[in-house]
Amino acid sequence: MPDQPLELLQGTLDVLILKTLTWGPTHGYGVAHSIRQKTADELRIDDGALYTSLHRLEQRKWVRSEWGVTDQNRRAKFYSLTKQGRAALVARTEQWTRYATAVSRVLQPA
Amino acid sequence: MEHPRGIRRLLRFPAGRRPIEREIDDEIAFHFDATVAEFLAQGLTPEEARREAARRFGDVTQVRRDLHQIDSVSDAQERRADRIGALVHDVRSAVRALAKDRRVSLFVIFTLMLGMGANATMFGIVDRLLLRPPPHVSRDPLLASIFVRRESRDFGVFFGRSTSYPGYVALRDQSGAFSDVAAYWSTVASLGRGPNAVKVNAGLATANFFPMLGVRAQLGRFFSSDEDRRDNSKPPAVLSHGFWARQFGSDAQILGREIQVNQGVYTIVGVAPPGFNGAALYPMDVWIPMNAAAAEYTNATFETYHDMRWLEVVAKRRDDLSPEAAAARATATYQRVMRDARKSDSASSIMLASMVPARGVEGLSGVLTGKSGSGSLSARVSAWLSIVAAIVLAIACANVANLLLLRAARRRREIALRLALGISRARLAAQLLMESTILAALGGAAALALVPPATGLLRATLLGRLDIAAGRLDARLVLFTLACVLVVGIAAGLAPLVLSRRMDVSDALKAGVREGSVRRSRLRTTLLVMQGALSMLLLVGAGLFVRSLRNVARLDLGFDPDRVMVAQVDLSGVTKGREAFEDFWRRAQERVAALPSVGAAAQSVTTPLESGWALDIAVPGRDSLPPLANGPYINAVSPDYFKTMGMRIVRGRGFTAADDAGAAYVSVISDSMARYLFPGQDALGKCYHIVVDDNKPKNSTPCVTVVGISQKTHTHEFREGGAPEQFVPLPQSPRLLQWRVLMVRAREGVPPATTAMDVRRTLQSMGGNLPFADVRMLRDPVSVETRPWELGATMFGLFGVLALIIAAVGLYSTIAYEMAQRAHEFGVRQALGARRGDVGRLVLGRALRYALPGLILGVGLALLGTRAVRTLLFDVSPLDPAVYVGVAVTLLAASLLAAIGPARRAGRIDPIAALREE
Repeated sequence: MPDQPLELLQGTLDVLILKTLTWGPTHGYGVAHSIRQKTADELRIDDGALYTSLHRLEQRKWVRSEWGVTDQNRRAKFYSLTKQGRAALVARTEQWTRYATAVSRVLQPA
Repeated sequence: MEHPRGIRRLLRFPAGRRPIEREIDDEIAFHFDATVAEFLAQGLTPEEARREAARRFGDVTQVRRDLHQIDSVSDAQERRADRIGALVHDVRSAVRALAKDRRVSLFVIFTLMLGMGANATMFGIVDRLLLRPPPHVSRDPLLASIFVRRESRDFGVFFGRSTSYPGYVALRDQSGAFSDVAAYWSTVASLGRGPNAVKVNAGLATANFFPMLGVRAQLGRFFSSDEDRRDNSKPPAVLSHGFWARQFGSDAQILGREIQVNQGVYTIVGVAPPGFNGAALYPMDVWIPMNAAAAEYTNATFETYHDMRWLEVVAKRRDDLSPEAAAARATATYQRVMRDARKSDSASSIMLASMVPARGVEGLSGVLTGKSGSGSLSARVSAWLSIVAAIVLAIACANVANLLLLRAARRRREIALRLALGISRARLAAQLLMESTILAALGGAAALALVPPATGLLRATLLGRLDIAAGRLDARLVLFTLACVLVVGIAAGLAPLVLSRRMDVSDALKAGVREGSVRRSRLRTTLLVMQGALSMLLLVGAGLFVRSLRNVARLDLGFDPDRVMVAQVDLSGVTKGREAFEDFWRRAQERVAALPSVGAAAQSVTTPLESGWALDIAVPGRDSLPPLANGPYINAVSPDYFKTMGMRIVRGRGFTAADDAGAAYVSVISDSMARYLFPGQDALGKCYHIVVDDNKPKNSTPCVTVVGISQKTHTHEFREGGAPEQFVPLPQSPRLLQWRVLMVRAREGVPPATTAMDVRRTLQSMGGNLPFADVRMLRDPVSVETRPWELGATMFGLFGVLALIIAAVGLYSTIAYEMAQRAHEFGVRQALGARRGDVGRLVLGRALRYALPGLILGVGLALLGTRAVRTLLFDVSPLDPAVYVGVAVTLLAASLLAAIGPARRAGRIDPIAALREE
């Protein structure tokens, strides 16, 4: 476990959420859990921020939501990717990769 | 940690929306519970778990607020999308429904296109003529056209536009009612001299005319006040935009060029903006300063010359005076001045009229009844035509409503079914209204397409000299059409709605299509009756106008407009002095009379229907004569005048060469003049004095003896009595006016056009650097006078026939539908022994039962409108029985014709098939 998780850079949360949803529709808690697992808790995720992101993504029609029932028979709001969302994910991923590559090139030991 | 996966069921919640807050709370609650469960699984106590969950979440209230904000926006967007979707759906289904019943839909659109097209066209014209000030004239409410309200025993109240120069000066300087007063006058003039002389419409205007109207020059400037002086040797001129383009090819270097207008040389200082024609709508070519040019056009004493009323005046009211106060002051001054000069205007009053003709003297009703002079005759006819067009639109709407009603009746089952399935009445209403609005919109779009050609047609026939941009689809017109579309869409759509409202749902579902669905709808009957009445009204109007036209055409004008022409050459600057002037005209008359294509030629001072000269008369033994609205007229003529014009001398004699300057003073007077001067007596042999100079006693001029009485003539206006006019021999003319025309009669068998060419050529070849010689048939001014009746007859006739056709087709569809519904009944009748003829007669009877009330109502409406129409007719009573009977017969015939088809079909119904049908 790291001592201090990293603060998220602007806009990263959206990409993470979109990517998470490619593995199937989930509810908000599921998304958060998934992200934490994948990043081994390296990144600090505020749940509140996560939900804000989710709702914003829904407003942009990149995800859609539906009320459903979990395995435990509990009502939850499930999110899934839309076609536009998928396209946005591709674009954002590419953008992120280019960004990261450029930065790391600078930061690399000479 | 298990990855929550797999959704067992997705339940769709019904359309009722749950409030946003509830959903947010539920979502957050779930997250909390799941997080707490996670921590509990990790071994924390419930409190610790909850604390951790809260910590990990962040600021709940803030998040909740943010989510709410985002979701509200999303929600609103979604709702809007839903609404649009619903609208699109409604439009699609409406279009589908309309397409299914294609014939009815097309007919409706076509009908509406005609109705709305006519209205849009008329609105465009009326808007230009009556609802706006002329182009480039300011809308300043202080700006007014000056009218003189005159009254005479014979002619009642009359509004005139002209005053004399002294009258204008009095209004300007002494009345204290206006901050600025300008005068203008338009005339025909010659631009240039000799073979290249061009006829132009010239306007004389005081320098303040243009700034008062608020017009800005397109190029250069207008006149300044010190250029508008009598003794200005280098006076300015301003060209109209159209003339500048036509004559000078829009030459950008036009300023500073000199042009000759009649006798004067002017320097062009400016070009007016496009469309500007002064305070009226007649196309103008050039403006020159009033004071600099007036003497050339009238006489040297124009500033004090009371006898000529030639100027039109516009004025800016003082802003501290109300219109009534200003008018009162102006009237007081005007009457005083006229009284001092002893002119007949001493009892007249001054009126201020808005530059917008519809708000002019007596307003729109004045324009319609023709009492005010504020609208030109064309404007008046246009106003009436718009009313007519509105009536036709009403008929078209009634028809459309009827058709939609029929269709609604047919769709009763469908509508009942939908009501049963839960559609709200409001939705149903919305859908039906949508259908009718779509039809109206399509009709409206087609109507707008009709406007430019229709306006062009009207401009060619109706508007003649008026300068109006033809059929421009400006914003007001489009808005007007839009308003029409809405009104029509709603009105025509509401009718079937009313029907559907009163429907008992189960009743309609049970009934077969035929049974009960065609109850004699009172609404439908009313609509049909209304259409019939309105058609009747229009056709009566047409009939009255046609008769007026025939009466006018049959009028013995006192001259022969188709064989007589008037030749005019402006000699100012060509001949110097009276001798040379008279010599020219004498030679002109001789040469022209000698032409082989000429039957006779004579000199005259005034031209029938174009110019008028009036001088007061004093009859010995009578204190005063009753004032006349116009007149009494005088004309000085050469001896051949009566023969040339074709004017009969009914009693006494005409003139001879012996009636010259030294002989006894004689005159020939018209029939109405005889009755005016010597009522109840024989005028032959009597004498009277012509009042030439008001300052001298009345009998200072010789007593002119009446030696001949001419037939009733219509040389000055088409009033039913004929003009009071006196003719004196030229050498004995009371005033030496340098105003002369040649009346020329074409020889029998020679086409007048040939004669006109010969005359023109002869005159132009008389040398001396002449301006253009204007030769016109007398038919031209006559046509101008008769045009309003021609137009009334044509337009009312066209609209009337159109209305009748629409109504007849409406009747046809109604009867056809009704009879189709009653096929079963007819089958029964025939099975029971009725013959084909009986059934057919039944149908015709139905048609009559629709037509007759319409006819009666139409007659009633026509009778109501008689007073308003009376002044528009000529020698025809608005109650003329022949017209009413003729139209009634036409209406009945049309109704029967409309019903023949259904009648014959009803007779041919196979009884067995009809009975078997449900």
